Amino acid sequence: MKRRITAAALLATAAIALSACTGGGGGDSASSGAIDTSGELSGTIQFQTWSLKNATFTPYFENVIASFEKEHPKVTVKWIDQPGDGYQDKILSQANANTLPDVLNLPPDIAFPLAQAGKLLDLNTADPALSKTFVPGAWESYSYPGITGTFGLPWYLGTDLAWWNEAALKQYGVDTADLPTTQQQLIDLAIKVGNASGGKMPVVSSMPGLAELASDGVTILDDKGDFVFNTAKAAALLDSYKKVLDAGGMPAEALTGSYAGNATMFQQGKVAYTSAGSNFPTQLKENAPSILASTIATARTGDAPLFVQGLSVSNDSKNKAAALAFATYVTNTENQIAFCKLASGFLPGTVEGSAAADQLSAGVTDPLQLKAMKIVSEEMKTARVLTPFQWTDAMTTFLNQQVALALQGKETSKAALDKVVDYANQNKTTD
Amino acid sequence: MRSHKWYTPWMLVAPAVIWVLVFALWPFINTIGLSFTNARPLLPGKFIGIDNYTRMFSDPQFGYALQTSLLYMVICVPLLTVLPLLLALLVEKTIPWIGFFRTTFYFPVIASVVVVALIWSWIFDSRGIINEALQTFGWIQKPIPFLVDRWWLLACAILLTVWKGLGYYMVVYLAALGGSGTKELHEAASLDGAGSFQRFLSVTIPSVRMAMVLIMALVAVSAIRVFTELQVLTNGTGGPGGQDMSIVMMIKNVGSGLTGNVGYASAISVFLFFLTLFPLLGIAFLNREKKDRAPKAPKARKAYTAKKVAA
Repeated sequence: MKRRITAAALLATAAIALSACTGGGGGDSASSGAIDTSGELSGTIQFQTWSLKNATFTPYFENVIASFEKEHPKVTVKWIDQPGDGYQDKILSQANANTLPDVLNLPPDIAFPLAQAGKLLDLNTADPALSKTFVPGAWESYSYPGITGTFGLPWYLGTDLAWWNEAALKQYGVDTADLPTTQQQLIDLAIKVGNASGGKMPVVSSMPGLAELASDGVTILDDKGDFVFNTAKAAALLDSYKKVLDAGGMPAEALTGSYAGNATMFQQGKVAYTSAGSNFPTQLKENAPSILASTIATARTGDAPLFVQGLSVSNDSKNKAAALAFATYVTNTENQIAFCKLASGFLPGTVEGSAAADQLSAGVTDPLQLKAMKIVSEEMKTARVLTPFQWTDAMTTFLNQQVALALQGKETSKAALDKVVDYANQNKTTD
Repeated sequence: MRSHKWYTPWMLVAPAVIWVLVFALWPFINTIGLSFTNARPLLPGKFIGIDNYTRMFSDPQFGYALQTSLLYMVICVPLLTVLPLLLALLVEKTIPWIGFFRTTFYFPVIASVVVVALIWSWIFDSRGIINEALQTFGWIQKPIPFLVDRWWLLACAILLTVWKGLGYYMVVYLAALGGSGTKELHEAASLDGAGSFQRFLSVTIPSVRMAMVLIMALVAVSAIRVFTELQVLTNGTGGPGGQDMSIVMMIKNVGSGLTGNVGYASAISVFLFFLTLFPLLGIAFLNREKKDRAPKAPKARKAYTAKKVAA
């Protein structure tokens, strides 16, 4: 009996002792100073990309890695690629286990919490000359208020276009030579086609999100970093979308849809409009060749969004010099141009590279693709980041829930926006 | 003479105990600890007392999640307790081709709930097969918003859960009916003039009572913890206003990702744990064995005591 009590007490003590291992450890945010990459580099580094290991990009990456290893024979680069879905969760588990790859592909919103936790190298301190190499807006997207430093090298920049099903629109009397260029024109068209088709051919496939509000000129954040988009202008935009839903210009399922459903409904022939990148014809060719035949592209309505992808260096890397040198190598102008020739519609993140955008369309023969790339290169001159990095997935879900209620008329647009702004300000992850 | 040391049994169970400690008990204790902090992924939290619990009880989103989960339980428990029993009685007969029907009724159990939910979301779409059929027959003028109306969406999710669970619990009842040996009881009751319904109530149900208790407990727990059906049918949004979000969906929504609020999600998880105990305690109370107590009336008590002494 006494032994049983002793054994049970030991087990309980072990359990309580383990409970002391709670929470994640805060990263060491101390800067490591300048890093010299000019000397002889050595070691093994891991390089992680996000859904880029495929027939198109694999030869490119293998060449880049081989040429880097040729320049630095004592460095070995191990390339790993993560699937498209669940990337945040994968990064989180790697960060928690202190196994973040040395060089990793991160957009600014995913890089931010890692930078907050001190998991990423401050590239501005590591090599102050880097900032002049990259497009200023893209470089700044990896700098965050309250955290000193810059935590990503802009790698490739993209934006959206507007894609239309010409055959479907002409059926309802739309002049496809004069398609919408503003959100209000898009809304008017959706109402017109919705009424004319009796709801059988909706135009719009998704609810307005934060990007649509920003694109329409609504101010999202104030100078203090508080969300302030519950304005009369934003409410008026939601009211307009309610009219679209009532007229049958938007399918009811858009109320529980995600952005990903946007292009899917277009490919299924269920809606006449979608926003997508300039490589959309490739997807259409594979998934919906009959829709491709009647698809045309125009510039995105309202302000064009800027999507930034970059390479970051792990602060826990045991080979920071090699990692920094490799990240800088992959993101130099020559390699970025070569990458963007494969990734149709994307532009390099370096100043020199973005100025040489004409080179990217050499070799493209598809007229729709060529037109799309031309539109993209014009849009990129004024594209901007519409969704701030402070905006989280939980906020997106809450916004979608409230906007759905507003579009159903169960809540006023202003009340819905007030709730979303309150929620967003109460749940900010920046201090 | 002892054949083993005192610690031998402990060593034999040690691997299982360690597994339970590391993967069950420690995460549970850790979650309780985190629920009193404002922890985020990668960032240690500070102790904030019961702020997370206070916030939870004043959070309208949590109110909807609680309503959805409780409604799910209240509706699914009777449906998945009674319907599989009726199905089992139907396929219990040993007639030709009955195996085919048993297999067919079991098919939904082995189908992936995600795939099924996706297919159902197409079927119940505003331009899906059900709405198209109803409009073709002229029974409705406008499509029924199955997937964007709060109550229709909940009904679709519950229907999906019941459809998937019928075959599984049918098999449990078949096993209980097969081993109950009630054929003679049915015959005796029939000879005494009991009708089929009376025999069902007085013979069949008591014979499968333990299986019924087990099924009620299983369904109650899994219904309160519903996730996949609602997640897929609402595309993770919880429906307009989040009114069809379940508690588990809310935990995922609040706590996942690099910017998740781990402290708040932990508080909701702890609440869910204790909430799950209530239906189990209720079911145990309803199915408690009646104690053999002495009657209160004096003459009856005297006869009871005499009987006890004689025994």
